[in-house]
Formats: sequence, C-alpha cells, structure tokens
Amino acid sequence: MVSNPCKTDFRLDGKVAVITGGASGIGLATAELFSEKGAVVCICDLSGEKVVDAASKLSNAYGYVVDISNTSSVNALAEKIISDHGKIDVLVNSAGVGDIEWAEEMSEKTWRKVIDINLSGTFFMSQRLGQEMINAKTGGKIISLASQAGLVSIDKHVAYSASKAGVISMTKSLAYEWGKYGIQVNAISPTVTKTPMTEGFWYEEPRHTKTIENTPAGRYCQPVEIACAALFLASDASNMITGENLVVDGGYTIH
Amino acid sequence: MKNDIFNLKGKVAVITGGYRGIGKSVAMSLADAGADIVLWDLIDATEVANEIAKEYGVRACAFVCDVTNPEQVTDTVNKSADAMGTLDILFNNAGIGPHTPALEITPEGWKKVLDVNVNGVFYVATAFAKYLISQNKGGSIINTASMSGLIVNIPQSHTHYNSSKAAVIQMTKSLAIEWADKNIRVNCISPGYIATDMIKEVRQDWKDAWVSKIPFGRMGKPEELGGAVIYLASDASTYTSGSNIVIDGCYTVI
Repeated sequence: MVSNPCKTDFRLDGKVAVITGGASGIGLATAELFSEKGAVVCICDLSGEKVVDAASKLSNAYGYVVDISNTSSVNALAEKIISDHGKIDVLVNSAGVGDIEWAEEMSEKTWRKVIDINLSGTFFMSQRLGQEMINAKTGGKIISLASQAGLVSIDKHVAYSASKAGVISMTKSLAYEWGKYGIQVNAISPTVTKTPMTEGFWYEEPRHTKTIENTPAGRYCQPVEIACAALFLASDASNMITGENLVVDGGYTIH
Repeated sequence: MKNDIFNLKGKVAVITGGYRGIGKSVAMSLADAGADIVLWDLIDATEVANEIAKEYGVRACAFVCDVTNPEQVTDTVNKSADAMGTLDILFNNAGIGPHTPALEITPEGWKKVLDVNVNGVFYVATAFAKYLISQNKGGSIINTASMSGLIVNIPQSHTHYNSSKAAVIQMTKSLAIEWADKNIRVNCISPGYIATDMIKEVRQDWKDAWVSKIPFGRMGKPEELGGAVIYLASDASTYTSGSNIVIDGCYTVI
C-alpha cells in the first residue's frame, strides 16, 4: 500500500484561518465549521458588534472589523492578525454584496460598489494576506467565494456576475503566480444559498419555483454545505488542487 | 464590398450528412457564397446536388459514403477530388442523436453513436487533411459539434450523444494545433436546438420544454448556421482555428 502523504482527517488544528464576511451567511457557517475542526478563527466583517457577537459563540474565535474595499483597512487588519496570532494559514474570502438591478437601470454607484467589494476587495485581501504567507515561507490556502452567476447569466445580476467571473479568473492567476510559494488558491461557486443576502429576490414567484425546477438537487443550498467545500479546500486533503473552481450548485449549471 | 473576403467562388466544399437537415441547408449557404458542392451521405444525394447546382449556378455532385468506414472515406475523398478538380473546404457534419437513458444504452448503441459522431468525424478530417497536404495546399475544416458538448440537455437522455459532441470540440482544438503549420484551419460550430427533420419526431412536450428554456423563445432554423460556416470556410477567418462558435439563441448563456 502506498502511504498517503496527505492528512485526510480534515482537521485544521493550529491553523490560523481568516474569514471575511464571517459574521453572517456562508462566512459564519465556515467560521463555525473551522472552529469545530480546531482552527484559530479570525472573523472579519464590517460591523464591530456583529463580529464580537459571532466570535463570542465559538471556541478560539476572534472578531476583527475590516472594510475589504479599503487597502488601509486591509493593511491594518493583516498587521493586527499577525501581531495577535503570529501567522496566517488560511484565508476565506466570503465577504460580498448582491446588489441587483436590470442592466439598463443600474446606477454607476451600484456597479462600482459591487465591483469594489466583490472583486477589488477579494483581491486586496488575497494580495495583502498572500504577502504574509509568502514572507513566512509556510505556504497557505486562499479560498474565494465566486458564484454560479460567474458561469451563467441570471436576471439583474450583471455587476454581480461580472464580479464573480472576475474572482474565478483572479483565482487562476494567483494560483499560477503563487504555486512556487506553496500557496493553493481556489474558488467555490455556490448556487443560491440560504443566507440573508439571497432573501427576497430568490423567493419571489415564479422565480423560486422555476429555479428549484432547474436545480437537479431540487432545493437551495445550506450555508454549511458551502462551508464543507471550504473545509476541504482549506485542509491538507486538497494540497494538489489549485486554480480550481469548485462548483457547488446541486447541478444548476449542468444544463 | 471591395475585397469580398467571404466569397467562396472557385472553392470546392465537401459536406458530410449532406442529404438533409443541417448538412443540406449549409450546403445551400456555401453554394450561395459561390462554392462548388460535393454532398456525402449514406443516402444518395444526387437529386439534392442537382437542385443546388440549378438554384445557385455552381457545380455540384454527390457520393454515397459511410463515414465510419475509413477505406471508403479515403476512396470518397479521391473520387470527390477527381470529380471537381480540387477540394478546399470540409463541413464535417454527419452525425446521429438517438435518445436513450444511460441504463438502457447497449454496448452496440454506445459504440454506434461514438463511431459516427467521433470516429467518422476523425476519419473524414484526417483523410481530407491528407489530401490537402498531398496537394501542398491549405484548407478549412468545420466540424459540427453541439451545445450538448458544453451542457447537458434536459429532459431527454443521451449520454452517448453529449459525450461524442464534447469529444468533437476537443478533437477540433487538437487538430487545429497539429495542422497549424500546414495552413489547414480546423474549427467547429455548436448549434443549439435547430428545427430539422431529426427533431420533427420528438414528442411535443419535450419541444415545448426546450423552447421555454431558450432566451430567444424559439428553435433555430438550419439556415441560421450558414453564416458561421461561410465565415469559417472563407478568407474572413484566416487567423481563426481551434474555435467553437456556439449558435444557440443564448441557451447556454443562462
């Protein structure tokens, strides 16, 4: 029998994991799962109150306030986490916004907000925390939340779709450039997931029924099901996977 | 147009599966752009060729050929070249698309679809390329893939068809690279639902379900593929090879 060089127990003991958008939705579910698997979890979000609240409910979890679209804020976050925990092993870029509008009616402000947060913010976080991983020579894992909307078109999602397609492409570029540093960079593309962000739009009829009909799994996704994909990509079980976009969509994009 | 880069006058085009459907329609488009036409099919397409010659004022002839038989394919390339003096364009289109749930596909059924849709396309492409190379001339090969090579159609089941068309897309890219220095360009088109004879027999509730998922709100017409094939066959696309043009009324966009 060939010995298995990977630890396949999906444990993250001793790893410092930074999760943006960690106070709600997919980010929070990921923080909960990572905490359960032994990681030191840095929950990052816009609201100080929310990060303190989220961190207080988990073991080995700490709250940090950050605006990922602001490089000074990202820089301060990186320095604070290094000062608190000494290193960064895993970054999960889960922060994002889902502002939607018909293309012909979308304001410049909305377009820029979506691109600023979803695409530029994900890059600023990856770049700054990537620098820490490179300097520490310990390798690392970067996992960015893209979306099925980065692969197929959805009503009113022009800015969101463009931002998420950008995340998928950025993931490949960073994976290519940072392979030599032992950093694996991957994306996850969820289908509609039951979070505060998807409330409203995805439950309007007939959209709700039609979307469920077009999803072979026959239902929307639970946040923890995306957290499981993030755990796989954060763990040693995925050490040879980089530049990949793991589509977790119950089959929505197959047809 | 001062320099008509889409003009195919003086070029000879071979169309496989040319007796009906997409093959026949594209043959007419190529003839309309000035190409002389050679139709290949399992069924004798001489009458179709005569119609095309009369309608478009080009030379046209037909040969019966089973694309799954490599000797016959080579023989038919030679016969076609002898009849027309030369060959320039191949619309490599013959294919079959039965609907069978995966658990009911027999080994014979599986092999038959792969034999026509993958092996046949390969035999014809390589025999055609060998001819071009022997004549020391370039040319353009256009394979018929399908949007089914990119996505899975529902509700019908045809794993073998979907798999075969994905293979055609990748084969197109491989051949494009291998023959890049021989001035032979290889591209493919990926039609969506096209209203041909093949689709006439399909049950109505399926067709309704298909149309409900097409942003254009209708199936395509065979003649809506002609423009893309003329483009890929002509000097309008001399820097284009290994490409896949998806013509599906936006089906795969959503």
